[in-house]
Amino acid sequence: MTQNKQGALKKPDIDWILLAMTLFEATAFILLALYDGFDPVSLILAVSVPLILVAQVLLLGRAFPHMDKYILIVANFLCGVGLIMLYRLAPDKALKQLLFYGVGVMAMVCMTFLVARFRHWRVLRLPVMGVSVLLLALTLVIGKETYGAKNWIDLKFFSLQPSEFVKVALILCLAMDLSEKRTIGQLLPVGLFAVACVGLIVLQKDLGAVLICFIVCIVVYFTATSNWLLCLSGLLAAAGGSVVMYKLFPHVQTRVAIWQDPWATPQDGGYQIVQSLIAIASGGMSGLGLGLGSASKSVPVVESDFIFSAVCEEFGIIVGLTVIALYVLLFIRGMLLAMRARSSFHALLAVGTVTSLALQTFMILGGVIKMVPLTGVTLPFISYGGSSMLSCMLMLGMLQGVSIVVGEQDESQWRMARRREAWQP
Amino acid sequence: MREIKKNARAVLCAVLVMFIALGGYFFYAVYNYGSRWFTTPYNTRLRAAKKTVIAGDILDRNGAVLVTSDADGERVYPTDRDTRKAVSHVIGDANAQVPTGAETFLAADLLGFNANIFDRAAQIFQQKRKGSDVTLTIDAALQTYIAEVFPDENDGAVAVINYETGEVLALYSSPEYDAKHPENFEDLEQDNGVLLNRATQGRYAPGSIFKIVTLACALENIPGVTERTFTCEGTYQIDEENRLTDTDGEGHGTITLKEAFTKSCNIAFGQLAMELGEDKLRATAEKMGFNGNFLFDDLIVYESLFPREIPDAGELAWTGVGQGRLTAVPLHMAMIAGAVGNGGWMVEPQLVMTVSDSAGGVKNSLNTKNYLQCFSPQNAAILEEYMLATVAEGTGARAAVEGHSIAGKTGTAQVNSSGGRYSPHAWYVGYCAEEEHPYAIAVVVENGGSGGSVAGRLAGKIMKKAIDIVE
Repeated sequence: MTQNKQGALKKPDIDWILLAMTLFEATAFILLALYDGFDPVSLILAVSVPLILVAQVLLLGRAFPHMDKYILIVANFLCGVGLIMLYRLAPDKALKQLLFYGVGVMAMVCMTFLVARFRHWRVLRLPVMGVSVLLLALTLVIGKETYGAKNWIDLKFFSLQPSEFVKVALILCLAMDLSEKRTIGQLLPVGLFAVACVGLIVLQKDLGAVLICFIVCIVVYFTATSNWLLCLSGLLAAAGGSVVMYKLFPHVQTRVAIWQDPWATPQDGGYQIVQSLIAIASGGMSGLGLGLGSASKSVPVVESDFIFSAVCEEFGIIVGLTVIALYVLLFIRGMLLAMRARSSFHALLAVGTVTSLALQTFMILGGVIKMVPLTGVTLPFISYGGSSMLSCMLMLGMLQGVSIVVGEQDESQWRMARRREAWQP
Repeated sequence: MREIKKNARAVLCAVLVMFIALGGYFFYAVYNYGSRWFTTPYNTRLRAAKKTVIAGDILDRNGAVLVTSDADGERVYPTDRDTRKAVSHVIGDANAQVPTGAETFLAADLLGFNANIFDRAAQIFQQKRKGSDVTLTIDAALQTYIAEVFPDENDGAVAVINYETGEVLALYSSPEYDAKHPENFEDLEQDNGVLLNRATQGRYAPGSIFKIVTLACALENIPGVTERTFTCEGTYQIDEENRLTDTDGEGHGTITLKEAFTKSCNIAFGQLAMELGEDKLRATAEKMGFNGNFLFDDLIVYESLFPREIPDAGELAWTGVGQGRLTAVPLHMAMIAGAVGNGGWMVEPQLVMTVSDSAGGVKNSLNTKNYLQCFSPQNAAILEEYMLATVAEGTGARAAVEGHSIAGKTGTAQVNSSGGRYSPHAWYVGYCAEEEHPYAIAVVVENGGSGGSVAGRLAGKIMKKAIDIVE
């Protein structure tokens, strides 16, 4: 801990935060273990979930001292909240999610390592693009349709949502190409790739993912080039595109109508949002208590898209607001990394990642509380879903990689400055 | 690189703005609408809670039990059928078929959802929990009296409030239903909206009681309007197509503004409305809560509506005398009349007096809140003078209560239904201008005929009763 300029955590703070979060997770699982007859599985979770959190902070913290521990702790804590809620809503799904979480942590470590240590990104560029486009195209052919969008590939034991991974690939490729190339000709491949991704996801009718990919492209492009005019016209084109989509797709029209007045159709179209709002209101400020709510019975897809309603019902609006604040903390830390980065590749990587995560969080939280029309995206780190969990963890890995690079650069510069000082009379 | 840093900061700012908006909206929505979301009939928790919680009692302001629960948790209503029916719309029903009733809207208290953490923890160990008892501001005796004197052959509504504190003393809606026999509800509902609480949700053409608003608007916008005189010949040609007429067609001759109000002269007020214009008229109406969004803590009240657009001078003139596409909700009209008596301030209506939880804790829920300033104190004084004169010597004479100073305004709202011409709705709004009896009242008798003779007379009786019995 040589560097404290950017508010890196000091040792004692971490201990306290870790202790608090560990206690929260452990007590929640112990409560669940005792709630309805004795449940030993929950006790295993009470030990293992906090252990994953602590182990990561201790082991990874030692291996990579420049890892951003705020981001690491916050993201893992959000995963923990998700697991607690899932175990209460659907224990079998929670166990699967625990597996995804474990795999996700490993994926995060790999990604961290790649970003921090791997120097030959260029080689990966074309294969990544190719695989992404191929996967998306494949989804169109053999995908299965849920809630009006055809965005899943069924792999018997495991369903894959390619658009989640394409987001990660898109951010990587955009950051890579926009950081070193400038002319139209040089930017053509990544431009085509972006168009292909957005176009294919439009064809899948997965409008939430379209919106995220499109805006990530615009924001990263803007950050790299400061080209206000083009980005603004891009956003205007997006607005125009939304109107076209609204006219074209009946399920978009229904969604907007439901958003405007879910109470008009409380028993059919608006059912989900109405039940979500009722669940949130039922919890009140302090919540009904873990296990005492009934969002599990009344809100459809409560374990993925609508998990926030269940969190609010059982833990209360105060915890709901705290969760929002934790996300904001994560985004601020991520964006600070972008601002400290010395290479544009790393800066753009952080900007793209934070934009994608922030947008996704905003869209689903806003949808669940009827602030914006509902788009079926998951709540990062908390919602149930393997693809979603993995892609979020990969993004977390990218942020950690950037953090390590930035930290090491800062440290070496600080050393050089010290050395220079020592030579001055 | 410096550019990128600057741009990243801009993106961060955008993200922060988004999430501050999200958190703000979240808090705002839950704070303002949370209790409404919770108490909708679609909340399965309420039905589920009824299995494990014995719902609390609902009492009137004098402690009379309006609903209680037996040992099995079944709802028990008063044995006296008249009382039961008189308070039916205030109470609602056990199955949320009358979603605005206290049984549903106050379910959070009745079923003990609002108990604090310690109570709730204690309740986990009890087999069947008990919800809180709720004491309403309603006076059941007054309410029963209203049901008794209200004409049997007409539908309609009566609202009586204390305009200084906002306490709702009576909310009567006719026809009533009998909560003891919910099996009849389906037949009833097909039969003319029996389950609708007309006092809080009925939207009626206001007729001449709207002249209070037109007068207030004229006082605000036309200096020296009180000194004006008007010539009324019984009819007035607005333009080629539209004509303004008075109810009795003979004309009031040359009259002052005050006389025009007390005699309810359409010609004078139609001309005033045209002079003021729709924008000013709408602004004044909205200042009193028209087109608003009432989010009261204790009860659901629909807002009265002023048209978003008035296409021609004819409709504007008729709007000024309370016809056209205006609609008025009885309780809201009582609140406006009360605001005149309260120096221009409309207070928020309150239905809940106390909430006592099963552990014996009593929470006083009365908390007078000024809601809207409808009139300046000077204009309120002028309005009071005119309204007192209306009851003393004008169209509202039958609303007078001997020995008390009563202010009011009558209305006879023409209704044209597709089936032909019906008798007009009879309206009366007014209040008692005495500090010991700060009661405001609105009465509407559907197709009852003349406002003065039908609604005014009824209001006089009810006001006398209120003065006599309400403490």
